[in-house]
Amino acid sequence: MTDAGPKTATIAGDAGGGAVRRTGRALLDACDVVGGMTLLQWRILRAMIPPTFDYDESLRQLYKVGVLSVGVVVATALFTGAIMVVQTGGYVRSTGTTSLVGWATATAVLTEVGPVLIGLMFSGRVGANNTAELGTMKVTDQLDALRLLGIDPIRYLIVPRFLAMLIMLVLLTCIGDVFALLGGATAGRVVLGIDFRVYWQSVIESHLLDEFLMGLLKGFVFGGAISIVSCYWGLRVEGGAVGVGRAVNNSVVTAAIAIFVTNFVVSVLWS
Amino acid sequence: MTFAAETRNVRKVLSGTPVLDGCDLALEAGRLHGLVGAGSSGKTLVLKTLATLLPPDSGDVVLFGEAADFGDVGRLRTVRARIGMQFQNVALFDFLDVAGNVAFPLVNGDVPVPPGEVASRVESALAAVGLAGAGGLAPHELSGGMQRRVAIARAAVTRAALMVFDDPTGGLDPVTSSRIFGLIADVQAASGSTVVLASHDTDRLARVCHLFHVVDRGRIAFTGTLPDGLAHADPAVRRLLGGDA
Repeated sequence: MTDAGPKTATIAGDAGGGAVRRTGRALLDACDVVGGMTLLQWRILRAMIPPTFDYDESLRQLYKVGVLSVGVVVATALFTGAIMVVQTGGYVRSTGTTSLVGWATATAVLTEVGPVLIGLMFSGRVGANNTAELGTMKVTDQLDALRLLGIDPIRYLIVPRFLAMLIMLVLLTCIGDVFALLGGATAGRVVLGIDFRVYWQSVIESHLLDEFLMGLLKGFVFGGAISIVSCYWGLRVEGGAVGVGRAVNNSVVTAAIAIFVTNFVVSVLWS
Repeated sequence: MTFAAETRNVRKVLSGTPVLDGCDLALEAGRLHGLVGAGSSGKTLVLKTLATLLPPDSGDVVLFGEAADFGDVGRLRTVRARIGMQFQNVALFDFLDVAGNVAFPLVNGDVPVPPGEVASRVESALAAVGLAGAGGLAPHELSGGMQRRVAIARAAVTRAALMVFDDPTGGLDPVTSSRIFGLIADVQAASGSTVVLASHDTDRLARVCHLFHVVDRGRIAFTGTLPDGLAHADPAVRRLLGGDA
């Protein structure tokens, strides 16, 4: 019994020390990631002055990032709008407040659900693809080949991706807003029997320009966050195919966190 | 004796492990050099250091008589314009077709080549590697050997003063390997460039290289002609050069 005290204390001390070490390591890793992303952001902004980036690559990215994402965004938005109307159906029926459905759907879609869900879809489709593409280029020495040819990979590869994601996520949020409202109108008509005219009148009379603009700002901020996150993890890849897989995973998780954090910040600042 | 490229007492540590440990390599100008070493001995790292893609922790990289300043992006760009490299991983750009890959250094170089001349130089470079007419194909449509030949064409198309070939015949059959070694020797003879060629294929290297360098654990264990190497006191050097241990 007399020996048990010090031994137990040592074990507890080791466990405590281990926990502190692990916490410290996790904090240092987090600082490393945030610092790396901040530096990447700075390098991107510096590479944009003067704007001598590759226009062909920029157009290619605008098409790939934006046009090819329209289908996914439309599908997401249609069903998002529809499900919001269906979920409110019970309350609307019991209270007879069908004239509020358009307002409720539009407010939620324009400010929160639209930008966030479209941002998450965009991150899964475009961000993950971007990380995998850059990571593969890194592990197959394509980035070194560019540097050897005197081309700055940030200016040539990253700036066009950054701009494309910024611009396109704003446009996709616009498109998504429209289709979410359409989805809501259709579901309201089919499921709840609400007349289209009543629904759209409710949307228009709500004067939601402020909410619409906030949603676009969120799209802009999410586009920037997703591009920085996905490019950062792509450029950090090491270790072949396994490294690329790990980077894609990190990219999707970090982008999701970034979307929720920036969503909160923008909402607070806007209000 | 003039040296086109040198590493002087270069040291590099990656993930806590010294990968280059006092590496002294001197490449005589206008010669074809063979770089030989066991797997993971540091050949690729030596070549990347020479190409200014891997800044050393200490020591100097001297290119064309001038120490490379890794902090000066502008001067590095000028130096790199005089270097052509074929990477071990081939490193063809996925977003360009074969002709676009070969044309890339011509179009994006410090002194852009006129468009009409680009097309003719790309065609002749592809013809030289036996890929005439393949310019419109995407890299993934090519076999491994064809991809390596495209990478060689891209490395050689600028007729750079220093050409670096990292394992150009890795994983290829003997016939294609012989052809590629012959091709590199022809390119060197025609251009008078300094060429360094890393490979495990010492038999074929022996047929084309003027000088040999043996890399062992991140340092140069031997530099000289093949007969000198085969008579070297260190059995590891003799073995790596294809002689009896």
